[in-house]
Amino acid sequence: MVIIISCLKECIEMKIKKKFKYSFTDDINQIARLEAIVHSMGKEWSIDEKLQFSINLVLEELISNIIFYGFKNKNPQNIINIEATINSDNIVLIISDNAIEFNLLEHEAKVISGKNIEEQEVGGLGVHFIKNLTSYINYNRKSGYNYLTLSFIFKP
Amino acid sequence: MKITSKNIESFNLFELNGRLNQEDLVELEDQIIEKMKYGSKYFLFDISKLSYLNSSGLRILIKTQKQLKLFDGYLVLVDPMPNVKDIMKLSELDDFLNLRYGLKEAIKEFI
Repeated sequence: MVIIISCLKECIEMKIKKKFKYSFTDDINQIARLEAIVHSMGKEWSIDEKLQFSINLVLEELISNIIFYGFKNKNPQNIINIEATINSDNIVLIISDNAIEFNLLEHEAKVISGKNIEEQEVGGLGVHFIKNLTSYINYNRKSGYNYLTLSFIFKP
Repeated sequence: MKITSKNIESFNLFELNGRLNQEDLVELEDQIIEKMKYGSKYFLFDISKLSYLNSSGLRILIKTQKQLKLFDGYLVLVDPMPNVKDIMKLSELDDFLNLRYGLKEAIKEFI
C-alpha cells in the first residue's frame, strides 16, 4: 500500500512537471537562444548553476556540430528538436534532427594533453564534454532522423 | 562578452567579461592576432569574470598557446570561475594553458 501511494505521488509530481520543447533551424546564430532556454529550465526545475552550465555546454556542442557538419545543404526543412523532461533523479534530453546520420557513440572522445596536444582532433573536445558531462547516452536512426537521448543526474 | 586589453609589465593583459559565445570568438581571435602582429608574445588572460566558454573558445586558447610557443612566448590564464575551471580540468588543459590563481602571483611567477 505504502509503495503504491509513493508511486502514485511520484507519478502525479512527474505529471505536473513542465516539459520543454524547442526547435532550431540550421542557423548558427540560433545558438544564442540556448542561454535563455537553459535558464528557464533551471528556474522551473530548480537546477543549480553547475548543472545548468553542463546542460548548456552539451547542447551547444551538439547543436553547433549538427549545424556545421550535419546539414549538407541549406534547406528550409532542416530542423533540430529538443525535448527536455525531468524525473526524480534525472534530466532527460532528446535531440532529434534530420541531418546526416551521426552516431555520437561511435566517435571516440579523445583528449590529448601535454606535449602531444597539437594532435588534438577538431571536434574531439566537444564529444569529450558531451560524453563526460552526461550519465547516459543512447542513439537511434529512424525515418531519416537522428535521435540522441542524453541524461544528466539531478539531485533536487 | 566584453573583451578589454592593456599592457602590464611585459604582458598583454586581456580581461574577458561575461560569456564567450559563438559570436564572440571571431572578435577574441582578431584581438589576439592584432597583438601578436605587433610582437606581443606574453599574454595574460584575466578570466575571473568569464562565466562560460565552449570547446571552440578553448580551441582558440590552445591555438594561441601553440603559436606563442613558436616564438618562445606563452599565455597564462588567471582566476577561473569554478565552472570554467572544471571544464579546463575535464579537458586536461589546465597545465598546457598555465592556469593560475592571483594576478600578482602569476605576473611574479612568469616575468
